Amino acid sequence: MATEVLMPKMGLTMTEGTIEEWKFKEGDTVKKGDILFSVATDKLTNDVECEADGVLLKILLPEGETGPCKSVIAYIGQPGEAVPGGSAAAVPAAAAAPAAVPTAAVPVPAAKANHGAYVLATPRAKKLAKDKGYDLHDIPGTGPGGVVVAKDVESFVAGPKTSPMAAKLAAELGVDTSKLNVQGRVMKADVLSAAGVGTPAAAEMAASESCESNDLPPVKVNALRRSIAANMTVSWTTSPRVTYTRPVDAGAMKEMRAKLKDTLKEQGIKLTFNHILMKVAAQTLMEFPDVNASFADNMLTRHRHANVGLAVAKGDGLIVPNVKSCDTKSLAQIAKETEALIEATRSGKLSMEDMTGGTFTISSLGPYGITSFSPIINQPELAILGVCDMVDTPVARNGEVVIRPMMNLSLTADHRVIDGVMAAQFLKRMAELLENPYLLLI
Amino acid sequence: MPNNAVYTKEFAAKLYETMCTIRKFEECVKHDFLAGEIPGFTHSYIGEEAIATGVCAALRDDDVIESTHRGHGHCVAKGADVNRMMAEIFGKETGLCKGRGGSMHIADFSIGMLGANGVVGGGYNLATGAALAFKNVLKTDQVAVVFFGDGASNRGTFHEAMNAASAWKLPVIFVNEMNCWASTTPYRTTCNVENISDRAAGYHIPGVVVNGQDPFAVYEAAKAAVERARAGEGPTMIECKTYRIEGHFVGDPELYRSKEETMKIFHDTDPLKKFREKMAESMNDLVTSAECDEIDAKVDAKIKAAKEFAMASKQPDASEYMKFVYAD
Amino acid sequence: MRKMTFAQATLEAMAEEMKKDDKVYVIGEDIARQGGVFGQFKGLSQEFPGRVIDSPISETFIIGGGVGAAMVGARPVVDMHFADFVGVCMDEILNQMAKARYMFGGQTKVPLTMRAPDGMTFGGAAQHSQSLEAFFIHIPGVVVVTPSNPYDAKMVLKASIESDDPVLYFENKILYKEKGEMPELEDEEPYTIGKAKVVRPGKDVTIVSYSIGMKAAKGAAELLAKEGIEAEVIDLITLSPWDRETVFESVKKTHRLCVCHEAVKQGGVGAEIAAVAAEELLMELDAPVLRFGAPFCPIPFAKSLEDMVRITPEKVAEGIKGMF
Repeated sequence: MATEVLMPKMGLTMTEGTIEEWKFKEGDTVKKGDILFSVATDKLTNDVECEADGVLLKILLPEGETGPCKSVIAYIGQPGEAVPGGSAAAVPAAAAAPAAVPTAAVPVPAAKANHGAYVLATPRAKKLAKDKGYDLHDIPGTGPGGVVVAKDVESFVAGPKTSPMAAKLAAELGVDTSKLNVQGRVMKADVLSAAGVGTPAAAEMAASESCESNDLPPVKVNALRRSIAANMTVSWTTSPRVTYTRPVDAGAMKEMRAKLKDTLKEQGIKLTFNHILMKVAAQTLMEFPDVNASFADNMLTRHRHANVGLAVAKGDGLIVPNVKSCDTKSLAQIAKETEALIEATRSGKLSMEDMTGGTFTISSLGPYGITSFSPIINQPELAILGVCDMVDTPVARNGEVVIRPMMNLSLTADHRVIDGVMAAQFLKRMAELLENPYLLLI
Repeated sequence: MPNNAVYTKEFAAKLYETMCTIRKFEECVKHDFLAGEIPGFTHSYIGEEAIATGVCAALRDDDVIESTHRGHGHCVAKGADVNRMMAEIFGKETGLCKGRGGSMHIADFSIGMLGANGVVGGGYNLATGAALAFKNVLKTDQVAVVFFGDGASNRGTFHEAMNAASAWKLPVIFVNEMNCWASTTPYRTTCNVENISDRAAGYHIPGVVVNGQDPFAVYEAAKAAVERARAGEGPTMIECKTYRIEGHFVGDPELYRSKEETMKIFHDTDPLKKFREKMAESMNDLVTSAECDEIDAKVDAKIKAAKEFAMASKQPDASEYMKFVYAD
Repeated sequence: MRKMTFAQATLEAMAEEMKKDDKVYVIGEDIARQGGVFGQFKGLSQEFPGRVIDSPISETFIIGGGVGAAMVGARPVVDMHFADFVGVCMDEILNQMAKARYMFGGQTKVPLTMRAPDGMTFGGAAQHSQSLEAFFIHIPGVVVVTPSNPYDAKMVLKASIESDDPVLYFENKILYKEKGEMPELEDEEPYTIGKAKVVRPGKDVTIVSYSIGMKAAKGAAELLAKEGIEAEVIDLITLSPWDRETVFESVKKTHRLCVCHEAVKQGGVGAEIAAVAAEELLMELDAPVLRFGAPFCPIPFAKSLEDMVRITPEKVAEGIKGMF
């Protein structure tokens, strides 16, 4: 009997996953322990080990397709062995997973339940979408089973439906683009054919070099990027944010690291500036409870501990795992756990636990020479700290010019809760602790 | 029949004319139905005319009758306009029920004909309830009559109504038209009493048996029952012996009996024929044969006119199909 | 404000109508000497001698006789004792009462009221606990009403008796002893047959119900309010013809509809309302139309089983939460 390969359930809230990549193809021999495939949810992508020896007889769920947890996605067995006939476990439009939203405050849209032409939407949602001229395919559904409900349509901000060239052309030729029946974006050719290519203006336009011919065929981005795109958009429209930048003298921090790193190296821990920043941030967060909080529907939820997340590059994207209760942990512990998380991120072994529950995020672009930037808040947090490059800079001290390693900290804070003064004071305190680390002891 | 009963010529002639009207009406309907001109179902009263005639002769206009599915005879006898009856049977707007009822639900409430009933045995309780209203609520001396066949007396409604009528001495008269056939079964195969009126004894209701082919006999029995009822003495059951000459419904192939036998019985018991015989043999030509012929001709013309009236009338306005659902 | 039970309210209605019109009388089993199994006719036969009649156990006579009496000019109230017994006199309702006005072309009318105590009590079991109103909304020619509280019980009964149409008045047994507020006599408003009442305004979901179902509906609304869901609760009062206008207006506001009743869910009144919603309100709906009713089994005797058959505020609230 062929062995079933199932879509794994990697966390309590996971209900479906998308096959990122099959590491083997049908007919290949596989061994227990080989990485068989990688699977993505909207939170993370993980490698999944093979659990049997044999030949990969049949792949039911191809790359890029989504299947429910515990569904059969492939068979391993002896060469020539029969596999049960059956269609792929790809999610038909109706077998949608419920929204994989971890906390109530996070309005992260669910993995879309629809992959074919038919969109599951309530009658009212369909009518509203039609009235507003939206394409239901574009609207994430938050109703039961991922169905598009009225409020999804009402809160949807329509993306550009018309290419800029087409829009300009439409205005000149007097074409109403909302009346064009076009799949996807309205392009120049659509406007021209609607206007009637025979018109002199249209013919001239058609003949001229246009931007559209400069486009390569569009490619759908991977699950991680889709997830980042969605999360960034939601954050952008959720948190009215202001970024505050403050220079910090990193001299003390550099000295601390120099003094501690060898000791920690003996324990197998590599100490970085990020770890120190996480520790200091944690301490500061305890002193600013409104920054270590979440906000939704006029309800402010302060958190007991500071779970500090660190933005980690992965592939061509980034992921933010977090270390729990940094306020109670030693620098060594933070360093150790953070390194483990980074390793897990790189190897695709992060757990849902690592990915959720963060209360504050640190994002470092220091190594890239950035001296100021305005990071986007990681929902449902209320602030994010951007760490910039350490640059030897001439500064005035006691009436003299000295060269100091200055590092800018850019704090983006949600102005619904955190006003300018609080943000400034937060940064001031962080700077204080970084410049006088002995303060951490008292 | 009381020996000293004295009838006027008008009375006797009226009896004949009523029976004749019923006869010719039914013949016309039978003919037209078989020709495919009448929709639905219709049930012929041919051969039983004397019963409706005799009973209704004993009633006032404000007395009420509950009829059966075989109701044309009761309707004519109670005094309905044959034009409007014919129109109703043809489903025309000018019909008694404005085309909403047809043969099986023919009715004329203005003269106390509370409707033919498509449910066998449906009328007992309606009549008994009306009698209750007359006696206890409206406090009038009106009476109610319910006609029913032998087959119908096997329904539970018969027993419930008889019981209540007797218990409370209600002014209702149960007129059984014992025509020997319950649809396609001979009555004795589904019923263990020789006379349906035997059942009346079980309810302490007087049960009388009369010759249903003699309108005078029926009249006398009905008159006595009506007097009892008006006097507050309660219900009576009158069993009128007759024979159903036609099939259960017009078009019935009558596979359950012999046509010859039926025709012989008809020949022997036809109430119209019997009336003429009675006039000549024992009533001193109160109404002569020639006078009967005149009545025949008059009725012929009446029925012909009724048919023309029905044909000239329109069907009800199609848009009014929702009218009369409620009493708005 | 006065306060009285549902049963007392119906008594008040009966007395007023019988006083007003001497053609009104009542007939049924155990109503004159006993005053009704639920006390709903208590004292009436003393107040109106001869007009409250204990009948034999003959439903075809009670109901059919009522039809005959109505056709000759009386205005009878016929009591069904238990709605479950309606099977005995189905022909009298279906083929006589409902059809007389129509099939006789408007020659007559049947100004009759049939009162029928219905619904589950505790241990009433299969033949004494049913809610059968769904049968009758399927019959053109009869009006079906089901008040849920004493004030409506009185005003709806008065309207039923005064109506020239045959009205089937289903009164829930449990509700008989429930007290409710009544306005002073001079402040009473007559009831218009066919009108529903919005008893609790809301914006998130419409709950339509009637009779004892109103307890589950109102209870569910309170439970839902604690979770931030504001339910609009409508008491249909008349089931045939039902107040489409009020229900439609509500659904156009809330975009979610559910119906709850004690009667069996399959083929119940909720089914008709849901079908109409699907036909005429589909584009307004932002969630499936839910119906809450008893499961498809006869009503059991043992308490553990009987409890499974009841609709409760909790069951309704739980189901409604899934609409969001």
